[in-house]
Parts: sequence; structure tokens; C-alpha cells
Amino acid sequence: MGGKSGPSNNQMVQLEMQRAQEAKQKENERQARLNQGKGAIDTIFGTENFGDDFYENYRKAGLDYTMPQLQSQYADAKRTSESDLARAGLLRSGAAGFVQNKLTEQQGVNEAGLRAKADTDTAELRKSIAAQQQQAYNQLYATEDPTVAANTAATSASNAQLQQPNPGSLGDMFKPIAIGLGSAVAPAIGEYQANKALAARTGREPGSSTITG
Amino acid sequence: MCDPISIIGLGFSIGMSLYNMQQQQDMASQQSAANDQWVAYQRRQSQDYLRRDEDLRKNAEAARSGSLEELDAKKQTAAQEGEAERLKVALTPEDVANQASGDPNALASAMFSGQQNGSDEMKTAIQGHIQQAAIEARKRIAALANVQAYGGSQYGLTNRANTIFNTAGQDIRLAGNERAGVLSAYNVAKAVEPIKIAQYSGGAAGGLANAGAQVAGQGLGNALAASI
Repeated sequence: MGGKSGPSNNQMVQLEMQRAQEAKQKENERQARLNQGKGAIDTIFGTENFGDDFYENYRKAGLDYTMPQLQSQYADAKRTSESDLARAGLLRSGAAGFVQNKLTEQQGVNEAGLRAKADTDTAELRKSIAAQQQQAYNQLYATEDPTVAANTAATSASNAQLQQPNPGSLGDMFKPIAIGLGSAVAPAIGEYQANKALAARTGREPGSSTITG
Repeated sequence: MCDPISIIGLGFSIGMSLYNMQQQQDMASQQSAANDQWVAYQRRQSQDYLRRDEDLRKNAEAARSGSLEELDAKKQTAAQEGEAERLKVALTPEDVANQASGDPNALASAMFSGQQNGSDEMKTAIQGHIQQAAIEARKRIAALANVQAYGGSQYGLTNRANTIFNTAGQDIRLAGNERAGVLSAYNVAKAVEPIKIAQYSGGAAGGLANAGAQVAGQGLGNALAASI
């Protein structure tokens, strides 16, 4: 006789079982909420919402800003070259073709560079949206687990940032091609070459002949 | 046959034994009551903890789901477009805006000084070029505003999203901190043990019962010895 009675011990066991049942139910509900929450986040940040159209708009906006600047510089460079060629009397020459080729080549390379930049900028936007999605996951886990909430504080300070295209001027994208200067010195170069050839044939330096007798 | 002292001793011994049993039953029933009380306390604490934890979790969930609603594609696109409109105005110089809209004063002020005295036809032609240039500039400014509205500007998408996450994060962390406090308080409550009633060992009553039995036994022995 004496000590703890049987029924009371039974009550304690029942209490522990009830606690275990509550914990199990709570965990089941938590897991269901996690699954539902993750599904909602996946939908919001999925391709149906943030699809290619969303990113294409950004790429296009970037190009809409930079391409007119390139076109304008190309037009200026072309006009300047035409004027220089006309002044040098070379508008219908092989030199004009050379200049035209150089301008076209530079235009193509520059445009490709700008398009590549717009593409990588768009990739940055994709990264930024992905970072938002990650933040949303973190907050879901922090909501469902208080111990995670404290750890999230440290990471939330370093939020997602979007590397954006430089809003300033593109700078000079076309190298100037000297046209007038080459034409001006061409006669002098021709005279030098002719004298050099003459000296090789006669063995004398031009302009240093000695008259005897 | 039996001397009175033995009878008294026997009676005393029986009485003391009954008293001892009674005391042990009282102790058992007190322990049972204490256990019941402890179980009720633990149930109360458990229910109280679950309710408070759930309330705080709901606070965090409200902050979280609220932030998520603000980040869906439609709202983000609308925010980006709204920010682009704001930037178009904020970035466009007033002169350019006036020239693009064909304001004669703005167009005239952009002309070179010698051009002011030219013929009307010439002035109209030059002003037409200036207006066209201003329209082109506005187009490019609009494109710049569009790009900036995705991220770096004041209310651009990235900054907006960060603000939304930070605001929700504050509420979630607050709820998380409070939940941790509630949990630790509950753990203290769980560690509370039931009152332990000291087991009744017989004590004085048991001793007295023994003494009575001894006296009774002695008396009975003596009586039996005398009768032989």
C-alpha cells in the first residue's frame, strides 16, 4: 500500500500520449502548410507569371535606350567620313570602300556588344527574381519554425540587387578614320618612293650628283 | 483466564494497526489528488502554449502571405509601369518636354542667336528639327525610365521587393522571437513535477501497536503458564 496510486499513473501516461498526439498533429499541419506555401511561391514566381515576356520587356527596354545612341553615332561617323572623302576627292574610290567597310564592321561589332550586354542584364533580372523567390522561401520557413526566424535576420540585410545597365552615355563607339591627311601626303610619299627606286638603279643618291669637266 | 492488561494491549495493538492503515490510505489519496492537480496543470499549460504559439504563428503567416501577394507578377508589372511613368516625368528636363510638345518659346530659345532673324520658313524648318530631336530624346528618356524602373530607382522593382520582404521579415522575426519565448516558458512549466507526498512509514502508531501486541502477548503467555 501507499505511494502513487494506479489510476494517477495512468493519467500521467495519458497526458504524455495526448502531448505526443498533439505534437504529431501540429507537425502534420506544419508540413501541409509548408507544402502549400512552397506551391504558392512556385506559382507566383513560376514561368506562368514571370515568363519570357516579362524578361523580354526588360531586354527590349535596355536596347531601346542604347541602340538609338549607337545609330546616332553611326550616322554621324558616316556623315563625317562622306564629307572627308568628298573633300579628298575620294568619294568614288577604293579608299571610300575601305572606309565604308570599316564603319560597317564597327557598327556590327558594337551592335552585337550592346545586344550581348542587354542579354546579360536580362540574366541579372532573372537572378534578381530568383533571389526574391528564395527570400519568399526563407520567410515561409521562418514563419513555420521560430528558430529559423532569428537566422533569417542576418540574411535579410543582404537583399537582392539588380545589376543594371549604365544609364550614362555609351562613349565614342566609332574610331575616327583619317582620310584627308593620307591624301595630302600621298604626293610626297610617291616622290620619295620614285627617288628611292632611281637611286637603286643608278647607284647615286638623287639630288647629290656632281658635274665635272 | 486473560488478565486485563493483555486484553488492553491486544485492543491497543489492533487500534493502532487500523489507525496505521487509515493514515496510509489518506496519504495515497492525497498523492492521487496531487497527481490529478499536476495533470490538470500540465494540460492547461499545454493548451495555453498551443493557443499562444498558433496565434503568433498566424501573425507571422499574415505578414508573409501579405508580402507574397504584393510580389505576384501582375502587381510587380503594374508597379514597374507606374515607376516608369514617374521616372519619365522626373528624368525629362522641362525644356525638352516643352520642345517636344511644340512650345514656340521653348523651340525659339533653343535656336542659335543668328537664326532668330532668319525667314519664317527657315525658322519653322529649324524649329521642326529641334522638336523632332526633343521627341527623339524623350523616347530615349522613356526607355531609360523603363529600364531603371526594374531595379535601381527609388521605387523600382528590386527596391520595392526588398522593402516588402524587409517589412514582412520584421513581423516574422518578432513573432518568431515571441514564439521562442513562449516555448521556453512552456518548457519550464513542463519540467514542474507533481507534489510527492511522503510515504507513511507507520511511525509512532506502528510502534505503539507493536508495544501493545508485546504487552498482550506477555500477559497471555503468563496466563497460559499459570494455568498449566
